[in-house]
Amino acid sequence: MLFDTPVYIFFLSLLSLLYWRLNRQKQNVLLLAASYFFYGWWDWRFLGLILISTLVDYYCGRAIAESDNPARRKLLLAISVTLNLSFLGFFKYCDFFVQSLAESLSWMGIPVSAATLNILLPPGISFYTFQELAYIVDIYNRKMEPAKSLVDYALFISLFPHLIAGPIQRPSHLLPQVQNPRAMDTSRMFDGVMLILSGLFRKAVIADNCALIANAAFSGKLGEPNLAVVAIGAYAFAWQIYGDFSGYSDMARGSAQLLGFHFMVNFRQPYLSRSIQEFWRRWHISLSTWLRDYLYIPLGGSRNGEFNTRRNLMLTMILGGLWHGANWTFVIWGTIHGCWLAVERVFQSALGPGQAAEPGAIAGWLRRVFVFHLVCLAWIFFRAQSMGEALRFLRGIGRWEWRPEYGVALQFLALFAVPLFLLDLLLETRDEEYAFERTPVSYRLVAAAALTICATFFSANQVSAFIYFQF
Amino acid sequence: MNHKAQTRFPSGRRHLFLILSMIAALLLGVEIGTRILVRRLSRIEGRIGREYAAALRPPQSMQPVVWFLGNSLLDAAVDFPALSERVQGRMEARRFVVEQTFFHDWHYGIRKLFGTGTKPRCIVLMINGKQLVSNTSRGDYAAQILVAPGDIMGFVRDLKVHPTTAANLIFANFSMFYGLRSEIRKFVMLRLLPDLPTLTSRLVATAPPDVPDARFPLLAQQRIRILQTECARQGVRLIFAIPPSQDFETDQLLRRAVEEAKVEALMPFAAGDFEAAHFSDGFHLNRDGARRYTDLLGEALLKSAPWRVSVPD
Repeated sequence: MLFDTPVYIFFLSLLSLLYWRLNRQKQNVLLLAASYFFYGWWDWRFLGLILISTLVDYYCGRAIAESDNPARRKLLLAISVTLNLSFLGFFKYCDFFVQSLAESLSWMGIPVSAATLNILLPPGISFYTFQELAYIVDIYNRKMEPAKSLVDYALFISLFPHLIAGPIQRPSHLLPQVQNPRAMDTSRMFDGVMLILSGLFRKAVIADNCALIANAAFSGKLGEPNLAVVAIGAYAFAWQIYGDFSGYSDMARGSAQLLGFHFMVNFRQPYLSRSIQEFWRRWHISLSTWLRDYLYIPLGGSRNGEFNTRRNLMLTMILGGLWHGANWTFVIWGTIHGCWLAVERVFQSALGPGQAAEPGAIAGWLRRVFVFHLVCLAWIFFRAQSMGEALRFLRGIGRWEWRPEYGVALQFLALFAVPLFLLDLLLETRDEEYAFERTPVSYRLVAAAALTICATFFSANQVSAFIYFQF
Repeated sequence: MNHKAQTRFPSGRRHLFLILSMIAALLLGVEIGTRILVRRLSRIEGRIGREYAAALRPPQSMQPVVWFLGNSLLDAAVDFPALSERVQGRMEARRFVVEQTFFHDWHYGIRKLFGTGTKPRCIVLMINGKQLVSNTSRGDYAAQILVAPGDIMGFVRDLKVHPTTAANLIFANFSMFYGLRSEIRKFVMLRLLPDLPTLTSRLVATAPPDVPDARFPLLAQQRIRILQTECARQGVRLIFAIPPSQDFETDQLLRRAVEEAKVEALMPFAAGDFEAAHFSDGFHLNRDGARRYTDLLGEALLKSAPWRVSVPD
């Protein structure tokens, strides 16, 4: 069930109407049933998988909290983490590693026939696995109490707005909301509707239209890669993936808000970043903070000197890249970001804290443009289907050719990317989560009407799945 | 955001009601606007609407009515005024073309036309082999234009699509705006970017030559029989007109499949009759090609006599 389809709107409306008539316990049961229905709508075969990992983590969590025996606690933690990572490893990476091993052996002159299993990827496995890991680690570290009710815990894992593509919810943030009564706050529901409209605009209007251009550039329909095609493809994909994922996140947050939940913000105008570090504080915040808290800091963070800090950064970014998908292109994408973060640290250390302070307006904008282009360059690896395709595309930078359709493609792209850029500027200057959030309701109604009309007339032809659903 | 919002808007319930009502009103307005305006503003939609209405009009003379149904291949291949003139006095030829349509679209399209209670003497259907055996469809658009509300579940079942797509098709069958939204977007986009066709012509994949596999004859026969059964149930004769392609062998294969299904195939051309120069994009006939094909088809129709109830000996 895609968030931008009528069936989802029907599902959400019906559920909201029923939901607010029930008490908390019944609300949770209803939401859990609805969440499993939502998941089963994607692929009912994987419901068993989420049920098994939910049960194991629930009982392991309780046993860890009740035990004072360090060895037993460690064993239970290991069981839970191993199970979760095994599921993730098998379903997401098994074929990739078998294939990569076979290719490596054949490169070394040892030909093997790699029989991959063509394993289907369960929807949302990367997201709910990270949420389960965070839960079990937090309990192990005695940062929180385990869930007392299985229904509450199962709902925390599978609450449908975040189930398929996040935002990855922290147990300390979401679990108490599941466990406590939720008050019907119509102002929050109003904000929820605004977020859904904003998300719909970002996804159906911006992302799906930019996708037409990005797909054309990467599939060779605009001709052999040359500087113009590479620029058009990279810019189009940059706005596509941003519109797509931030749109999804807005719709997820809006849907949760209609049901009385609050989800963390996932994007804060990332293309206005003036450094790669800042970019990662603004892009997919729920993942970057998860990686920081559960990977980078346990690895040592920035505590053990510059070399170890850079190593930790690199490792975190490579694993973050691999989390996105079983392909070397994602590993390279993560590595590129890791390198840039490391290089930035070198420059910051060399310049000293005074130089790294707030730049002037022009310097600030120049830095934004520079960072945006660095990010776009890395997106080429993220978007390409293989390393060969990425390198072939990048080699086009050295060629120049101009065709009339490139001008039209740029106009088309500007028509959809510029409004999102302006929207981001507005949100940045006004420090809002959606346009005109802090204005009187009449202004917000006008904004809602504008978003509805845009979504009505400019939605791209085809309903397409959100990019992050494949992760 | 939330706590601030709570203090800022004590009358949240009223505001929530306002925003939901406004969205509902806008969507309703768009739906009504689509029903009223789309056929007046869009040349293609206007043409489709007129052809549909014309197909259902009672006969204007004593002559039997023959429907020519198909997609852009029919539109490009047949100079319809010339063909109508050619068969004048024998039958009333009526054309109904819906672009980018496939077997499932026309299976249900024919059912919808019959569902109105109108029956022609004969249906001449023109789609190519690939479109006949394809499992795709024009999707939401076809669900709105070619599928009757009572048939939508069957249409969805036949297409074997994911539940989300199935739900979209059902919604498109109900809402004209949703069914036609891609056409509306095209219309708006063309007004904003008049040069857009320069780009979109590159984005539209040129259809690869038909490469029939071993299942082709059997599947083609099965599907022709389905169409034949629909027509026979209404006492309507079915003729399958094969459009020329650049792959004569596939055209022959399709003809054999149609004939083996005991349906009359009109393939009024021989190998080499149509060359690359007769096609505008490697797929559709150009003006020269259409003139040539219309002549050949007219002649074949006169021999085949679709105005008769059964095939002449």
